Amino acid sequence: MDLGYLNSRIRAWRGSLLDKEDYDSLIGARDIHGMVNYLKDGAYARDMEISAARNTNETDVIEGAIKGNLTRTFKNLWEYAPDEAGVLLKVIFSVWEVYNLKAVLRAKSKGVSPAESMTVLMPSGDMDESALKELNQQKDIFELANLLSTWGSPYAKPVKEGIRQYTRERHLAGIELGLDRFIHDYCLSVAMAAGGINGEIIKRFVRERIDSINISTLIKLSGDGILPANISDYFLEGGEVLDKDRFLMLAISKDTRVLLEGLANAVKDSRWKDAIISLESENIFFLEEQIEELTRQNLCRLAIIEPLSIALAICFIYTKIREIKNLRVIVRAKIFNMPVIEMKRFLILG
Amino acid sequence: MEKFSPTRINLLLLNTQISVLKSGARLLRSKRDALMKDFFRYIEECLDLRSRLNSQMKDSTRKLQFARAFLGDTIFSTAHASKRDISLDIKIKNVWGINIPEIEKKAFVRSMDARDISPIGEGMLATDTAKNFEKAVDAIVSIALSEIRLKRIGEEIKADTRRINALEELVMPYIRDNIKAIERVLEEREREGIYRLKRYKHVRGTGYFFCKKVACPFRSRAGKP
Repeated sequence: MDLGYLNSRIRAWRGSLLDKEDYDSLIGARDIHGMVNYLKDGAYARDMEISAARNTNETDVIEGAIKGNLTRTFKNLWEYAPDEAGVLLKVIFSVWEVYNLKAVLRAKSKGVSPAESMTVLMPSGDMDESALKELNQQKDIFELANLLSTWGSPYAKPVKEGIRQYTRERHLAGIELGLDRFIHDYCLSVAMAAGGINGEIIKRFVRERIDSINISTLIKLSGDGILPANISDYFLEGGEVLDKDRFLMLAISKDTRVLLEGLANAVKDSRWKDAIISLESENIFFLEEQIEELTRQNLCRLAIIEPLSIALAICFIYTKIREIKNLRVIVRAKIFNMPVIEMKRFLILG
Repeated sequence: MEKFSPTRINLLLLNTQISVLKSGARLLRSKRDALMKDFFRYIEECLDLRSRLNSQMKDSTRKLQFARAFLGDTIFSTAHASKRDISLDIKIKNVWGINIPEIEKKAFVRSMDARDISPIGEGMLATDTAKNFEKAVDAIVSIALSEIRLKRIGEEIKADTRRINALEELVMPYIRDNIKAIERVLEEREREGIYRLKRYKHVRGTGYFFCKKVACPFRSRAGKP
């Protein structure tokens, strides 16, 4: 698989990512207005202009520009990727594709207007803006499933399977769980089929993602009083850190501290272990971000070792996402006058 | 105010009224004292709930801001999925004659199963934020109940104080004044009667009667002009 052209484009795009100086200027900006002025001159200039035409509030302008920039990055990646690399990139974009599907399903189920639900969607991969508009305009979940079938989308199968339960109980959770399970199985099968170094990289990436999701699910379930019979439904197969028995054993721990100790013992990677041990009880949510950052760092290392592989694309995507998250943290911190020291605790500057 | 004619029956009536008013005022005062006791008890509960709600809202808002930072627009999709109607069972309870609404306690915090979303793809912050805001709803309902109760009791205490003041400062003094006035008139009448009797006795004793020009029954009896 020749990824030379795509990788050279990505290397060029990497040059426009925010560096330490940019972050220092943004953190040091007096207020949102200062941030807007700074972003208007850099890599976000185009997106800021588009967003400024649509929004009047400065916070909305930045939020709109950030989202626009990420959408454009995804679109560029998707367009420049050769056909054979598209299958691998789909593995990365699948997270957003499933998110978009779930968002549309939720909107249809809860009676949210298409205009409102359109604003929360994130065009990515096969689900570009026009595809999302089409999905969003469907009358109900049944029509949506039929449309997916017509498109020959791989997501049609899990949605159709979940619809039977939805018709009986009017609960979306069944369809969502089906989609979540399907997508990880699908990604693993794609990685296996791809073979070679790219297949290995994707496999490793998906396995880490599964482990990260299983750990996050365990924390979400701790102390939730969920029925033990239902816990196994939330386990994703395919990870390396946690097997099903260990997952079930840890899931019944009522105290989050006990759970974290159990997780620290289960995890072999010392950096993951450190992240779990050093967690503050009030900021447990930050573990997801830390694990995502560790995965990103692994991929960026792989991109150096294997410069012509798909690792560079994944590394770039996750670095971009981190940049977006950092920008959003700075925006929120500026709005709520969060002290710089406190703000920096939640910034991950790779 | 009503004017009372100075009769003995009115005096008796007013005396009965004043004793009824006295016991009424005493009852009202003891009711107010009991309400005050409840009021101070509920104030503590209310303040406690208010501080709980404040810290809960602070925590929830902090989480929401982090969720908006780390999850972006996906938090809105979670919000769409978590949409639901909340029904409250409100019953009216009568305490010391005050109608106080009682809201049946319900658990607003949902488990992952009940939230009707798959926890697998959802960010930890999203579920955490949803849980925090459900706890805030719980606190809001509790504080609504407590504050309404406190407000009603406070209004009743105010009304009772007004009633007691009206009784003690207005109605009872007026009736007391009336009693005094009637008593004065009656005493005057009694004195007049006594004086009249004494005069009569005197006239009868001396044989002289002041009614010289008219036919006087005493004159013939006395046998003097």
